[in-house]
Amino acid sequence: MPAASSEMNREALPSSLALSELAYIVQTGRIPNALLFYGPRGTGKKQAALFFAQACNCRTNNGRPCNLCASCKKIAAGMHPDMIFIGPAENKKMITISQIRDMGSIIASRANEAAFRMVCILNADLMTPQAQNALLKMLEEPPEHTFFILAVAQTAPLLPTILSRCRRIDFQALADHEIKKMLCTQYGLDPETAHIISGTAGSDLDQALRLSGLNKAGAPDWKMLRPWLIKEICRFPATPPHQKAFKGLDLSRRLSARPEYILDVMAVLRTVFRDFCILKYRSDKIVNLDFLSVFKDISMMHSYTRMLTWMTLFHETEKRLESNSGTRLTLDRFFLSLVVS
Amino acid sequence: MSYQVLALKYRPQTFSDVVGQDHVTTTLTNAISGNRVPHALLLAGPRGTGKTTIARIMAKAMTCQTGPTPSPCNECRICKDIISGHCADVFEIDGASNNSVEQIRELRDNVAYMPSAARYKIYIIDEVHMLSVAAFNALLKTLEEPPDHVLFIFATTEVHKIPATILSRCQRHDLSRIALDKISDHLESLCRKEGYTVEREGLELIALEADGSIRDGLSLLDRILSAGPEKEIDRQMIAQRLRSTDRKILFSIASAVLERDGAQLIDLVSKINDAGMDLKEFYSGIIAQFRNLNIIRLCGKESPVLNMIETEKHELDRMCKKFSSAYLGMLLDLLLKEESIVRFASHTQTAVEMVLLKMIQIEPEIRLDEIITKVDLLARRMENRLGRAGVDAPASQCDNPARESVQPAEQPQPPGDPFTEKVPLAAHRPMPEPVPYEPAHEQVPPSDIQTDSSGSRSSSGPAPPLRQEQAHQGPPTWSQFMDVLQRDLPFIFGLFSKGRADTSNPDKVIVTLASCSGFEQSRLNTKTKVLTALSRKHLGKSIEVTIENNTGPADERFRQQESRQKAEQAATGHPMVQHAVRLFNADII
Repeated sequence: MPAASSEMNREALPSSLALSELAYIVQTGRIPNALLFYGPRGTGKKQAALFFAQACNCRTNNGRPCNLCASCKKIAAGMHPDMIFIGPAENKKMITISQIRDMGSIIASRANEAAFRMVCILNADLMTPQAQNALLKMLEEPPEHTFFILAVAQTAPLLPTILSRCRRIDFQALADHEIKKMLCTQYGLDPETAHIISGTAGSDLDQALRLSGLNKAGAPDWKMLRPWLIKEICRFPATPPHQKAFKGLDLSRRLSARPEYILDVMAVLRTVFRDFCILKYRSDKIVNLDFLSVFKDISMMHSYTRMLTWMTLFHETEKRLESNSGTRLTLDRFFLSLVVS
Repeated sequence: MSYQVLALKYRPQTFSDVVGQDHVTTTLTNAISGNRVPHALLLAGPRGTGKTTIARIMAKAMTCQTGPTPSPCNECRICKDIISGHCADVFEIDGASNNSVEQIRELRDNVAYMPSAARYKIYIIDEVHMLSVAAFNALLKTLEEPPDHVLFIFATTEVHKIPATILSRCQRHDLSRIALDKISDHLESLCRKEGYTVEREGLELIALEADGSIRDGLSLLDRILSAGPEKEIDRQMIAQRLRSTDRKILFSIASAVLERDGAQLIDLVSKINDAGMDLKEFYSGIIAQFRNLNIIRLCGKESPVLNMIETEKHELDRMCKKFSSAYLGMLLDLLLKEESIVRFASHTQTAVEMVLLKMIQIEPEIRLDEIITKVDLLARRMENRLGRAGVDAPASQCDNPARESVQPAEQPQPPGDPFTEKVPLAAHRPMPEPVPYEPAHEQVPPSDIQTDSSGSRSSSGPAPPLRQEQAHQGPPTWSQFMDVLQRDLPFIFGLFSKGRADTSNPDKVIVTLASCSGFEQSRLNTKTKVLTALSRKHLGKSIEVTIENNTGPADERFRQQESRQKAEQAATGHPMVQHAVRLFNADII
């Protein structure tokens, strides 16, 4: 179990506020019918759900898991029969109504041994509308000694009828400056790189570690990709007008040739265009501080509304890429409208 | 018994306990006492307004042992069974999980049997909008004419998904959102029952967040009460525990937008993001804020549609006073337009920042009435210019002294406001001559008009001599002849306009055509007579057509050359040849 606990420590660390709230709920014995764990990716929601289930069921009954009794051990090992976890099935993107119905037939009978049975729906924002509707009645009045935990990263896909049945617990993401501090102190990066990485990753520690190449499955290429891409973008205004379209298409061809990097590319583009827009007001807040002088030149050459148009174009492109349109065509369109506008 | 959340613990058990739905409860009470209860009821309304609750009370009222009564006793066996949810004659069906036609057929088969203990058999179908189309259709006949002992009660949040045939067979009751003060009153009474003292303003904050739904309000209250051991809770603690978008930040955002302070906006957004708040929720908070600003500007702060606390109303009122309603409307419009971008953006912070930065690019100073005045002024000037060009073009010299004589009289007038300028001048001169507007025109000459007028002046100079020349010439020119051709022989005109004409010869015109296809040549030959007649009539000369360069051999030679080039290209492009070139590092000669 040492491996599991160390992993848990790293991930559950950010949500100490949420954990204390959960512990208080257990202490008072007021366990609600449904909890909604809301927070971005990588904030330890699943760990918190396990912690809560352990605390509810711990034989020592002191409001905190003892990690010694049979119940705590079973839950930590993932072998407890009354801890039901639901998530998207393998190779599926959504949680379907049949999964919810199956769960309904299970919880209709008594719990095996737990004092409080837990149904934890991970990535509950991936439930289809049908599945959500099928959940409503169970969620409002679950069988005795059963509670629900819905872990979500966003609330928009959930029905308002689901949201109003749950008690919400917020899981706070790390702020940019905290990630920056962590990268500097714990991983020994220099402050400038740490600033750029934390700005690009956007409050996601895993992403930040991946970009910095400290993680094993990291993207060491990112460090080369970023300066190259920014230089290419900055070269656009200087190219003569008749070559602009050609340059844009060429860049689009090169980027779409490596689809595995497209997310990183979009992240870099996002920071660049945001920097253009923000430069006018807060030049110290921009992400790519090492290109400050170049950006200043570019923003002198273009009107502010034009830079805002670029940003709108970027957001449109991002939306298209997410909705499975062809990468090459989408990027072609993006760069063409970028150089023409 | 494990802990029950407030929403379940205090679920109303009589019609009089239901909060804020008087229009429904009164109707149902009177229907019961008047013995006019319909066999099918449809309860529709947003989340957390009491649909399931009313359905259950209705079931109790109809089956209570004290007879169908508007106030069920809650003590007899049947009432208690219904409350605990295992009465044999009241079927509460989850429409969303039992939505197929099979399950409805089963229900229909069971409808015929008499109830076991109660007076009626009651089917409550919750979330009825999720039934499939086939299931709805299977229900139609039963719903229209059920046996005497059967009652249907449907509850749904999405009434638009229910087929019209079902709707027309039900008596529909729409539950409304619950007003702010009713929610806070209810919360206050519950807090007293639970033994907590909560500040009234804090409860209003919760009610505001609940957005018309009692259950939302109770869930929030639950969360706040169970977050700490205190029994007395004030406004600040609630704001802190809600941790939802803090109202203060919304106000600073609104004022930063109105003051057009970009740096402040960027700071605020990053502050909110660092505090771990949901930026998408925050964005809808901004939308609500600007909606309220718009309403206060348009309807005043006493408007009943505002869902706000008094102190906030005053602050917003003060904020929006100096801005036009058109400007505020534009801001709200932009927010709504960009909503989809914020929703789908992978990095919400950037998206929200961009929308706010776009908002401060809108100029509040541009007033529509000012634009109209300016356009009006411009149009007048244009009119004057045209009028002068048409009427007194030769008298342009005497225009100057007139202008100079007016100018001194004009100068004391403060420039800028067109209205104060116009009125006295119009009074001075009975005839609206162009002159009054001249001074303003001279001070700020719009570039395009200026160049236009100079152009027309210069063209009006040389124009008369040209006309004179034409009169001198008398006989019509080649171009005039072409006009005639265009009218009479359009094909020939097309041909001639490609070639060039030599009119220097006194008694004939030679038209040289660069090249001519066989078809064109034959057409030319057939029209020769007509052409000659025409040219004699209009030009007084004969016409001669020569065709250049239409020689076959030259064409042939060109074609040969082309084919040879092509063959050469193909040869050099051949992979074998290229390979050889690479191998020997050679040049092709």
